[in-house]
Amino acid sequence: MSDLSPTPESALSRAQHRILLHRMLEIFFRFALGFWTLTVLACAAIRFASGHLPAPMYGWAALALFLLGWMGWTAAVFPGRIEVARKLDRVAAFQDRFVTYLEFKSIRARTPWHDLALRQNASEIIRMDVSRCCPIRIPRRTAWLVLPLICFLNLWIYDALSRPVLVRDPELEKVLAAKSEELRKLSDQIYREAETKKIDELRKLADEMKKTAELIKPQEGKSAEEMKKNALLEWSRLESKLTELSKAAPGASAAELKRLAETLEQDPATAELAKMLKQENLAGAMQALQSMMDQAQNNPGAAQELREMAQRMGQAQMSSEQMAEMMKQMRQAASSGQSPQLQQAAQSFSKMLSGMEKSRQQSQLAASSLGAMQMMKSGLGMQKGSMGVGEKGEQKAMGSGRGQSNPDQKDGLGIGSEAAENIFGDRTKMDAQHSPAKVEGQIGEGQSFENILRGTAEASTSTVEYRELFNNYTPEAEEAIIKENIPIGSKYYIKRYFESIRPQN
Amino acid sequence: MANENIQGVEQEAATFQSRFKLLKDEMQKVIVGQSEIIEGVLMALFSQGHVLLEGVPGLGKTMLVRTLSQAVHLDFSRIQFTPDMMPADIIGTNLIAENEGKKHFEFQPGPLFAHILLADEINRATPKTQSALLEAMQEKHVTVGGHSYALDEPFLVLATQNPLEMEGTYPLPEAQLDRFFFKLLVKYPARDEMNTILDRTTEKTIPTVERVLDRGQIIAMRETVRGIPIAREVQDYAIHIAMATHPESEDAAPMTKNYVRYGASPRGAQALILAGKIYALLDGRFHVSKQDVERAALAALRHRIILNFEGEAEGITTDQIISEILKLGEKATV
Repeated sequence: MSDLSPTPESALSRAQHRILLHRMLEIFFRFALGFWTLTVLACAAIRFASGHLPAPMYGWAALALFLLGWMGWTAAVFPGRIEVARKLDRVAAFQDRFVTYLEFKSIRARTPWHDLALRQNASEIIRMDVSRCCPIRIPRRTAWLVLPLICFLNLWIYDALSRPVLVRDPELEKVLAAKSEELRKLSDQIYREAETKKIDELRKLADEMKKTAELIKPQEGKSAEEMKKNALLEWSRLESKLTELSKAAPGASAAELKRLAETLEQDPATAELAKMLKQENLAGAMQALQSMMDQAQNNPGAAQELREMAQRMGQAQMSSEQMAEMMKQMRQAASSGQSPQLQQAAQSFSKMLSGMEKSRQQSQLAASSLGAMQMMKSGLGMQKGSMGVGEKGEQKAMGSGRGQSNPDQKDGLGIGSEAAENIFGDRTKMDAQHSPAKVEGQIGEGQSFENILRGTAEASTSTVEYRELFNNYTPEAEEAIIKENIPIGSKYYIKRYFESIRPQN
Repeated sequence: MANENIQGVEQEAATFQSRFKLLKDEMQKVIVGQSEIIEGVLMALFSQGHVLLEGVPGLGKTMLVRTLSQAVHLDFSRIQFTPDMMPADIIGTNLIAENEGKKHFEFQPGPLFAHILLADEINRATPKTQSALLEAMQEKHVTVGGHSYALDEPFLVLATQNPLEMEGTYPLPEAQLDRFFFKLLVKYPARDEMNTILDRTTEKTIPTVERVLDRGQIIAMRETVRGIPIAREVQDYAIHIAMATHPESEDAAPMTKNYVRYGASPRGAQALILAGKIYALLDGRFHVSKQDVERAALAALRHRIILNFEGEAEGITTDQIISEILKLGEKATV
């Protein structure tokens, strides 16, 4: 059965626990911000040293460092028994009862006085209210201020650390800005062309180019690598689109148009149309057809010519689906012999020619734009190297970030990542044979000048001299005090004066 | 057995307390106010020390000493120091005496051979005469003509000096000052106290003092004081205070470094502890505390600190230096 009655030792333990708690709280509330700052700095150092610190790891590292610092500090400043006793004595105006108690308790050969003091002090200590002596005061204002600050700081730091390291490349930014501007100009040019020729596809392409120009512009808060990657992606996407457009099928091949022209050139009425088709002048062909259609509306002879033209065209063998369908339509119109159907078929053919013309122009413009873009690409410095987004290696390069160079591939848009192993040249051989040579200067013919400058000596105190001086005149002063008629009271002060100016050593 | 011892000691302490109070009360029948001075003188009596009383004339210094001698059953003598006084006038001298036709030297004891000696205006005597007291105060015996004569216990020197009229005086040398347990500054009484003094001294009935303690009781009380234990912590504090009066010590206070030439001797620390023990007893405690030591610091150290020229030129007092040392105190560790 344990003795639950209070003793000075139990009071001391209570006080120690209370002081421990007090210290922990005090340190937490007063220095938490400082701890946290140190923790964050340590984490940031780890992050920059290792290059990477994942978010959960950061959290654990921060927490561990924080706890370590807090507990370590608390332990470092935690007072021993005698300090606690001293504190209790002081705060409770205890007149050293506790300290004396602890010391007397440890004495083996105690006198009755010691025992009496122990008994007296023990009874006083037991009556002591430890909570009054060691009050735990939490600085409320500080607490309210510090805690949100810590939370905010934590979030801010977490956010800052989770962002990629921003490495800027002014040269690249300059190049990207220039390319963006060039692309924007090209898009304006294409847009104007599209407006003139009324080609919607090209207008859309111009818009796309403009957007790409904006996207590849250098942006704040993005690293050089990110900007470059983004520019390459956008550039590549636009090139793909242009390539697609430039290869768009015009609807009929040149051979088909030539074959159709040969069918029509036998008739003088369609000779002009045939000529235009042969020359692949689709706009001219459309005009000739339109002229024929206009004449056919008022002139029965011309209508007959139109029918004959449709008949001939219907007999032409076309390989492409669109042209074959067109010729079938012509054949049906010619066999019906009715004028509205003939007009409608001619109109369809004219539309087809118009579509073909637009398609051709679009393709040409896309091809020229692609050429222009490839010219621009030369300034980006992206041709050579293994890391690129070339035509064939694009997906691979972007996925792994480092593609394998292939001599069969075209030049990529990437940037080189390899360097020669010995870029600084061979090391100097320290053990190489060498012979020291002494190089002597020659005295010139000019005049020489020599002068001795006398400086002042360093400041010092001449203690020996002072002592000698003091020893010389002190006896004389003492003699004077004895012999001269000096008031007795003043003699004392004279003596004291000489005492005060006596050399210390 | 242990309990009996403890009870005995407890009884001893209670007796000390009551006797001290009794003596003090008895003295206060005549001496109005000056409670601290009376207490200081009694503490010196029970600590086997001597007291230097400093104050302007008419404040009752001599009266206080005479009252003490009346209140205790001890021999009392008074010496009025003058510049022409010789050591033999205090100690005594060998006189030629004739006994059965044979002449021989016989020692004729001086006024020093008393239990309580009032050395009035001690600074008016020459240093030669002052130094005659040195051996007596410290060693409790005197040597005349190669023969030592022990002084009877208790031996208490109560010296007075006047801080004014310094002309024609011989300030006590440091060695002499160090022999005094306390230096007490007698202050001018307050208005109420003045009323009481006038009442007591201008009426028909003049208060008289009864003898309340005899020699044996005083010696027993001295033994009691020495029995009080002190913790090393508190003793260290007393040492710290004494060391702090030395300018070259690492404990020295800033004022000490600036204005003190020599600090207190180990006798100063002894006085702190002995006085602390009496304070503890009077407070009903059986151990000395730092507060007890602090209470004794001014009286025990003020005459043991020698100011340097700057200190004297700037009018610094030793009390100011001690107060600063006490104010700085110990470095708080918790």
